[in-house]
Amino acid sequence: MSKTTVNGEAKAFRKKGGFNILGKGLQDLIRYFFGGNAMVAIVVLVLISAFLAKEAFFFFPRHLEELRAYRETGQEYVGYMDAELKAHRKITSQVTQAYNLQIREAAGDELALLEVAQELKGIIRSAAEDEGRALKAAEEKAGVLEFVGGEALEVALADVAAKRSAYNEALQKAGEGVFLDNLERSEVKPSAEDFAKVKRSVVRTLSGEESPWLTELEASISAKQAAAAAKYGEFGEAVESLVAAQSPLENLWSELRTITAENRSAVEKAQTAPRRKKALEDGARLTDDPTKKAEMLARAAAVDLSAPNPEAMTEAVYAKRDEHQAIRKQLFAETESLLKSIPQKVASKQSNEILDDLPKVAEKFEKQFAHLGKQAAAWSHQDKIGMWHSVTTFFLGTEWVTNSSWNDVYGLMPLFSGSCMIALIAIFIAVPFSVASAIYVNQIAGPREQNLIKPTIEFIQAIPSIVLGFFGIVVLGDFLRDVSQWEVLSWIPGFPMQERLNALNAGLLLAFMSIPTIFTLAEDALNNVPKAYRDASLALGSTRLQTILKVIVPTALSGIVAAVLLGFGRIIGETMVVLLVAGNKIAMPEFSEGLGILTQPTHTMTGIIAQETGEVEQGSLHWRALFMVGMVLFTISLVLNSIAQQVLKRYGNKS
Amino acid sequence: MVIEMNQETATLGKETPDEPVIGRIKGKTMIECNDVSFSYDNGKTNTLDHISLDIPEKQVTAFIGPSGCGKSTFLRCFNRMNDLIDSARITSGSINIMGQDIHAPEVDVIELRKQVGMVFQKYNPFPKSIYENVSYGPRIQGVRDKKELDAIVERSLKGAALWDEVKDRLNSSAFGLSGGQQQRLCIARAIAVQPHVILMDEPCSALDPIATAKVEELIMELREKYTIVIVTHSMQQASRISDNTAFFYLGKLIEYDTTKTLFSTPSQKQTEDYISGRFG
Repeated sequence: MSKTTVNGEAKAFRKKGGFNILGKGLQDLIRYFFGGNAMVAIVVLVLISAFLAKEAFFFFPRHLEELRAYRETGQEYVGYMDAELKAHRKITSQVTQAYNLQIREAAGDELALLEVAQELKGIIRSAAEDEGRALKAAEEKAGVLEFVGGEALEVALADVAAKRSAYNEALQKAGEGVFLDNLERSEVKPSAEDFAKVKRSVVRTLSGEESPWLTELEASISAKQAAAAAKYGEFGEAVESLVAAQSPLENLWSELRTITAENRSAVEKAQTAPRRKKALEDGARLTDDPTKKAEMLARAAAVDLSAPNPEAMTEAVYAKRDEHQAIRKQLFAETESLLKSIPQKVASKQSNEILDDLPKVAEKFEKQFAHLGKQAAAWSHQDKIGMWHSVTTFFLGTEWVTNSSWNDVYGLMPLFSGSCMIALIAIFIAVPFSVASAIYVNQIAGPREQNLIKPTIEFIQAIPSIVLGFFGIVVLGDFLRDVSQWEVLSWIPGFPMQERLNALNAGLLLAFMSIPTIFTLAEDALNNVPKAYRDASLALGSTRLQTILKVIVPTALSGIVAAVLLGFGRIIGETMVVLLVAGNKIAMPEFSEGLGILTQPTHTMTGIIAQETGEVEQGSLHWRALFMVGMVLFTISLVLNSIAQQVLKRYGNKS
Repeated sequence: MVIEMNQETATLGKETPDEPVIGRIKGKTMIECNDVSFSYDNGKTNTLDHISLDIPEKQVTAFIGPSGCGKSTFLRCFNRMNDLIDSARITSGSINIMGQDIHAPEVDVIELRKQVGMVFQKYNPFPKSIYENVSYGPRIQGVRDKKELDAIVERSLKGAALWDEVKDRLNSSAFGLSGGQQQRLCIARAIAVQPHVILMDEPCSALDPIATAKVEELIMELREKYTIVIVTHSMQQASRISDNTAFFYLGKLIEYDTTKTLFSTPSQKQTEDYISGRFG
């Protein structure tokens, strides 16, 4: 028997010809196409991160240079003086305020009446505006005709008389039409009797007559105030002396400030010198004109490359140091004795509140002043500044000052705290709304409601943030401020608000913006809870609500937490709304106001980048500082996202 | 009781079914179904078609039949789990449990479900500890006392023959148990609220033979205290553990008798065909 093999059909599984490049078939190419696309996304992400990191981390060496310059020019010493002055001004302004309030309040009720009279004057005058204008025109005409005389003048005078009586009538009528309720601006509402009196005298004054009552009122007010000033003469003098005591320190400060600011510009000039020299040399190389070339080369040679000598720069500061110490000692002693001469109790309640607070303020001043004195005494331009200092002053710095002619400061904290504050407001508002709606839509609503609510909430995502920001400026800002002025809400910290654009306003809008993110993710998490849990719970005789609260929400909790974290990431990265609505005030929140900080205007990390990137010189310290802020934002987002993923992975639904 | 139904006349739309025939099933009636029809689409088509049968107290009654015959649907009518589905409702007849029409307006469905417990096809313990799973029912009913809850948990787990296996790890996750243990945990969870009736919807279909044997053993023990209605695909299981068996086909009750009779001398041709494996 011979061995035979079936071979006729072997072609069936051989590679077909057709499309082929370099030995790769169509299938391979399709695979490379998709793989390549995925790869591009990853490569771009890596490039962006690398670029960001590179630009940002060169910030610290440059920042260090800047901090050194601040010290070596003696600006730092002037900074201590500045802080001393500020501390002193704080206490002076408190005392001044207490004094002024007391003097003002000495004529409290009458002053209020005078205010009412002024407001009434405005109201009544504008009510009789047309008649008033007619009278003025008639009077002018009569004035012109006075020189001509004759019949025309008589006609004109008669006209004036008629217009005057019409005006007076209108005033009378307007006066009758005004009631207590029409007063909006005055804080004090007078009694009906007083009001009638004020009204009568106002109408009388407006119609050109004398109003003895009003004149008397004014006289009485000034008399009372004068009496109060006399009574609190010592107080007044103390206040004046306290203000005056500053001037020696102020003068010295101003003198040194000018010198050190000049030092600084010299340092800056030296920093740019190599670049200027190179630019001139390049220019000389490129130009064909021999005279120009020679001129440029000469200028390049003339560029002074030497760095200014710190010893020379700080000479003036050291020279004045003893004087400064003497001045500040004297100021301190004077302040202490003057504060003792200030009365502890006066008649005014508001003044007393301030005065009660004074010992605490004084103590704080003393401490701060002493500390600054020690720093100033120990100051030396030779103290080394390490890289670590450059890092901490950026991350923990409480000031962000740019484009200053004195000294730029890059401290992250005001921006970081602003971003966090707004994000926390937003998340506190958004979480209950979005999680509750997710629970409602997923567990309670019927299909029709689901079809209405879900797309509606998801639509919020489609609103451009600039539109929301505009809404915040135009509508929400005014609305919030009006609402905050309601008496019933005055117990809320921070109400009534000072500013229309503030953290609360931005937080509300961001909450609205983040609702769809949190809602959608939380709804997904709830949806992933197996229906079997619900059935089991209901079959045990639990109500729908018990089932939701005890079984479904706990099971979906990890997903909900992840949703909230991702929502937080979305909020903290949002730019346009906060730029428009947060008020853009770069300052640390005033924590002394407690929860009132929520209604303060603030600035954010995203906002500062958007606002300042356009106008900075590329490669400058300011530019790099903005990159650093961007880096911080990037890190926050990265951390939040990975925490969310970890939460889902670790505590996620295992079944 | 044996219901004899003429298949042909029923499909032609006969309004009233034949009266049940007095049968061999003894015992006090726990669940009484009269002429029950059920529809998933507001009465357009009836998934259950005029079913009447009485389920006796403290016995095991098995529902058998091919997939889609409506036996699970019928089971879910007893604790009104079908209420959760929109447009699903009883279109005729009534179900009385312990003499009370469960669809009457004065019935509180929450209370009904406390009396009529359920064990599902796929074991579904909550993602909580063993202790929390068993104590869930009593807790939502307002039992707060730790000692009382401890006692209930121990009693229920013993009742479900699981106590010895889990007593040392009551606070560990229920997901750490094997499939059969999880299903017995679900039974323990059901009996923790002390129902009168336990409905079991193919409780062993997701279990291996050894776990199945344990659950079956448990069912035999539970019969002492509870009325059990079990839906099963396995005719061997029905014949092993049940006292009475009902055979459903295409939404109709074909035959209902003691298990012994039904499997040895079925009165209907369809029943005989099904149990001998000729279709289904």
